[in-house]
Amino acid sequence: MLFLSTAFLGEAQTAVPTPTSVALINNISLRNGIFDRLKITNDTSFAYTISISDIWDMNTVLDAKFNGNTLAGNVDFTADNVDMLRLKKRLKGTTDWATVFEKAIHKAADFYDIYIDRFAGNMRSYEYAVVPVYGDIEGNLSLIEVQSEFKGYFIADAETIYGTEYNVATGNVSKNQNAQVVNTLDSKYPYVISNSQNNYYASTFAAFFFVPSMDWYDNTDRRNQILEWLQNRKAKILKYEDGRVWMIRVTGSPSLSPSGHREVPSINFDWVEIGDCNSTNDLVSNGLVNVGLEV
Amino acid sequence: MKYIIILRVVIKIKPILKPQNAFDATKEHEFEFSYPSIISKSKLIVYTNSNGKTVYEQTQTSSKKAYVLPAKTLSNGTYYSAKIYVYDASGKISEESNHIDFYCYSAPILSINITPNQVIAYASYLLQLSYLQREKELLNTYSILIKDNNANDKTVFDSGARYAMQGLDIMVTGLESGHSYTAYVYFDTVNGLHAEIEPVTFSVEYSSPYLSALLLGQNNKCEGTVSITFNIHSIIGETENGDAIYINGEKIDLRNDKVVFSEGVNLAGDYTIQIDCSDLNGCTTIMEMKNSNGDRVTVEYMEDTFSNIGVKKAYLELKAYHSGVCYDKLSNFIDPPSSSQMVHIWIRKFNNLYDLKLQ
Repeated sequence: MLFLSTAFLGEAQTAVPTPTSVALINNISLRNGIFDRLKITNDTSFAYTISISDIWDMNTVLDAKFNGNTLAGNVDFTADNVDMLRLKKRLKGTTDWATVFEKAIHKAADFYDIYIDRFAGNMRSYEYAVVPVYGDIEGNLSLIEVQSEFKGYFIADAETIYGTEYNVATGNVSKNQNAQVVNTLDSKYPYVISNSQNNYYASTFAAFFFVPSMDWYDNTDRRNQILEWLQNRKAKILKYEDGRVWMIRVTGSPSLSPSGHREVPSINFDWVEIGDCNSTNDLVSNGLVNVGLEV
Repeated sequence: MKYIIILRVVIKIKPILKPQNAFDATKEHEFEFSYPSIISKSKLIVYTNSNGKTVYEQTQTSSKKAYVLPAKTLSNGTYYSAKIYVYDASGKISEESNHIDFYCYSAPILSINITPNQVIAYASYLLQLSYLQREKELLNTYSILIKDNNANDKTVFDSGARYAMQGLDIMVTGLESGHSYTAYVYFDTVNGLHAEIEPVTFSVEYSSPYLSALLLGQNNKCEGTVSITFNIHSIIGETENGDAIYINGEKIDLRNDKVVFSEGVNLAGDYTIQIDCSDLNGCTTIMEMKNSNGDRVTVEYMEDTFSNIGVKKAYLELKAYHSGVCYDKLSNFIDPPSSSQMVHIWIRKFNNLYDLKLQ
């Protein structure tokens, strides 16, 4: 066909797709030789070299060294011999791990996942370790360190997190115990009886939950969602900007109170500490992580 | 008339001998007792529980409220009773104490399947204990404590009291590479014989060559969260002929075989491939990459004599097949390598253009 004096689409294969775009390769084979190394990376930024890097990074796709085996990944286990991956977490400097995530492994693709930790405190360094699990046996730990930083105050559960920096009013944080004062007739001083093991924090919290990029109506809907969520009778994690973190239940009735501007009423609620947010068993029994209880 | 009545109450105080757990008679043993005033001497009388025959009766001069029974005074495997008398500062003997009963048993033979300074190559370890006692005294409970010497001896594992009927094996998990630990093991028999294994210090070293690569962490400041990405690639190749042939455990011989990587492989976008190889079969396909649509890229190793130069040369030919159309690309030319000479293959796909090198 002639178009503007050119042979437009004039050749037999002019309109076929680019022949080199073989995409999403999922089968790679080698043969007809002696092979010492095969490395494939998505990194195309480095200059030609005959040396092959030993570093496995996010771009690495496959690295087979053929050292007596055909392993080409970054681990020496496969989906056939691992039942589960377990993610553990601890505050840096402490020794107790809390299991926060588990995933059953059935195929190689199961090894990929993303875990969102909504319970990390501000300006705290955490160590996370992934452990392959074979039956009841844990394999070796591989760990990283991440510094958690944020601004403001957050309240979260296993799936949801809400944060605010606006007009936050935190009440007195009381450390509660159960003690009875018994006044007797023959003593100047009373006795104090404290048989209970109670030892928990409680306080109040109030703040604007307001997203500047949303309009009045959407912010209103969002506040209603937050109120419903606060009222759902489930455990939550409350994080203060000063680094404190508590596992809490909202007590009493969460409320909206006028704050001088019709678009930003304050959400108020009382809370009480119900567990240790570094304890796997407390996290599990309060539905904040979905893993097996530790024995 | 007035009477003065003087009541003199004589309170007889007797020592109280504390109950004794079973102990090993081959070692000296201390019998503790209480007495509400100062003493100068004490006399212990031990007799066989079954017939009341006295087997030991001696006085020790000491103000300490504990009587040290010398080693090898009694016999293991016997059930005894004992009582004690004490002498006050003036030398006056007290009332007879209460009677106590106790067993003497040989020290059990204990062991743990870990030796001092052993290096464990795993994060988990199955601790196996053994307990043997000559007089067949039954084990009641045992406990294991493991302390991390790198963390101010903090206890990282505490089995608590475990009953022997639960078995003597305990799986310890979460051991960290580079840390030194000390294991403490305690046993208690049904008659209270307490025994412990000499604390064993061991270390843990396991290789994590991709320590930082398996997890990727990112702080999300605005969301108040930390995201942890699992960057685990589990890929294992399968050879066509079953058992692969390796050369010195460092190379795989695929001259008459083929290795396929498929499970866990996902190659998209641009990429760079580097291959170190040798002794390639001439004019054959040495690499093939396919996708689920049947599209493929092949790399052939060629050795040809070119008529225009009359010299034999080696080169690579890459063919990319897509929708029935083949794209062809040749590498540079080199002198044919010897069979032992290592060659390096470089393939780069960038914006759907290929760069192919052979060296």
